[in-house]
Amino acid sequence: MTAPLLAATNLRKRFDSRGRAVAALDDVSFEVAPGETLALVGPSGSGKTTAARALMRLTELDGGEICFDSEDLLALKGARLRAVRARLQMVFQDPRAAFNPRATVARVLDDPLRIHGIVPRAERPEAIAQLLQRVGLSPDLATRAIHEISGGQRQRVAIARAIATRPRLIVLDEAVSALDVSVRGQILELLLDLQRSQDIAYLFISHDLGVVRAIAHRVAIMDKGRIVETGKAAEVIANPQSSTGRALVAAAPKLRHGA
Amino acid sequence: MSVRLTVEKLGVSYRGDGRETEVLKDVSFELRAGERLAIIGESGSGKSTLALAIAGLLPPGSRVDGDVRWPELERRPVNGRDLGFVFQDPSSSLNPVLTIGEQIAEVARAHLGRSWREAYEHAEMLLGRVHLPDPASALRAFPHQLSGGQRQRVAIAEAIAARPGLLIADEATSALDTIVQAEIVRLLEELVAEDGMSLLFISHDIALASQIADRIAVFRHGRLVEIGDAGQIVDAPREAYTKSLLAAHMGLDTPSLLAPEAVA
Ligand SMILES: Nc1ncnc2c1ncn2[C@@H]1O[C@H](COP(=O)(O)OP(=O)(O)OP(=O)(O)O)[C@@H](O)[C@H]1O
Ligand SMILES: Nc1ncnc2c1ncn2[C@@H]1O[C@H](COP(=O)(O)OP(=O)(O)OP(=O)(O)O)[C@@H](O)[C@H]1O
Ligand SMILES: [Mg+2]
Ligand SMILES: [Mg+2]
Repeated sequence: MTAPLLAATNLRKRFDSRGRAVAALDDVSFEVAPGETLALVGPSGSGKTTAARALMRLTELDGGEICFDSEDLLALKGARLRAVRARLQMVFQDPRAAFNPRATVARVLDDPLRIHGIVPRAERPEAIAQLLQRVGLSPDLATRAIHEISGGQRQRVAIARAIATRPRLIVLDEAVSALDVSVRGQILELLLDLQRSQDIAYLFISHDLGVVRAIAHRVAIMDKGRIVETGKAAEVIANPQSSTGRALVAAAPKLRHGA
Repeated sequence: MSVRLTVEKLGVSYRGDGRETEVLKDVSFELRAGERLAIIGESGSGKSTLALAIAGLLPPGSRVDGDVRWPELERRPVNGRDLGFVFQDPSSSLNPVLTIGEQIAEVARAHLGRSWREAYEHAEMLLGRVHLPDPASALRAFPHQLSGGQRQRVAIAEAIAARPGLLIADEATSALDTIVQAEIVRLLEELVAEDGMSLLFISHDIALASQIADRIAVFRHGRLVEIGDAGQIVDAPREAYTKSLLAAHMGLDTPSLLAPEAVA
């Protein structure tokens, strides 16, 4: 067994919401190996995004430890934290909120390349065009403002931004749920291809169990801030042991055939 | 059944930077009262543009050809009252600085002429109707204090607050878990059945579309390529494109895309 790339241990986070405490993370632990895809599934409000945001240091935890690439993530500051940010990327659930809507597509992709010094200035337009092509977008979109492209196009720009810095782990929070099936297939192939060639790991948050089954090695099911079941993706989805897992599988949409 | 909406030879072009991009071409269909029509099709095919054109929400400067008619109305449709809109991304329909109660009650006040007190009671009832846990305290919450799925239910409550004749749901359930999604689908069915509402359900998920819709319209490159009863589209699609959508669908029986040794 290789050392995990990411080890989250005993994560705890409570929110005080309307005078009541909500345990968004109630002692959550999980690991992701290099080149592995761990899917995080669970009902709405079960704490998936909170866990993702905690990994990105966007949510302050009440307790727990996160070890990423042999570093204590929660202790990092300043330049060391910025350096880790290039290796740990996230695609957000809410693509609109993740961008400045007036920024152009080119600007959104230029930022990480510049900040992390990945590509010299003169080569950046070409690098941006390549990134757009990788996610199946026309390089012509580069001059458009974020609010001038469709939802699925915006989502792919977010994915292009995440892969720009050649990260080791990408947290994908509902990253393909806004994509139609053909584009989604293409993006999933891209993610798998990057995984095979660069050993990227994914924490893949999704409600779509068909997709989870297709691309995840393992799955962890969350409910009310706890992980209630983990196992190999195909096995858990074929034969869920927890009541949450059974309910999620039973409710998955199925093609309804005519009379 | 009376016709609620007629879309005739609709064309839409966006303008900006001196270019004009045609994104909808010659789209015609009818939606009857109480009917559920699903719109599916690839990213960028013009589904949201269609929804915005129907709602009169296209950005200024867009060019619109053809017609959108509301035969039952003798006036121009009013957003919020005659049609409700739910987007994929609830943060675009919810105001971050108002409580949930304030924003839903405001719709009931503006369009149903309720007093604030009545409007708040109405809002609480609606939050119960969309199955939000603890509606009374949710009234006092701000959008950021809710999870994505909870926010989406609030957005639906707001969209149906004035009992509009048409509800447009643009990818409204694609960010929800399957349990809530199934609940919302049941809820939408309930609303259609009880309130005689028509539904335009935009989705990428052909399985979901087949479960919720009476008819399915398939869009590609700004054109309506095929429209028919849900059963016909699933079992006997006429267009190659529709067949490819069905083939790309990932159900629970889809084989893993990972190398066999990785999943063994
Ligand atoms: N900033 C916040 N303030 C108060 N409560 C919050 C905040 N963020 C999240 N919560 C609460 O924490 C819980 C977990 O939310 P989270 O967004 O992590 O859920 P999720 O599993 O991502 O759900 P979804 O599938 O709907 O996106 C929810 O009950 C939510 O209401
Ligand atoms: N404000 C705008 N200005 C210019 N072009 C736009 C604007 N909004 C959308 N477009 C373009 O119009 C086309 C149709 O976009 P639309 O949002 O209607 O697609 P969609 O079918 O809803 O896609 P998705 O499934 O990705 O949401 C896309 O090519 C998009 O880039
Ligand atoms: Mg979430
Ligand atoms: Mg759209």
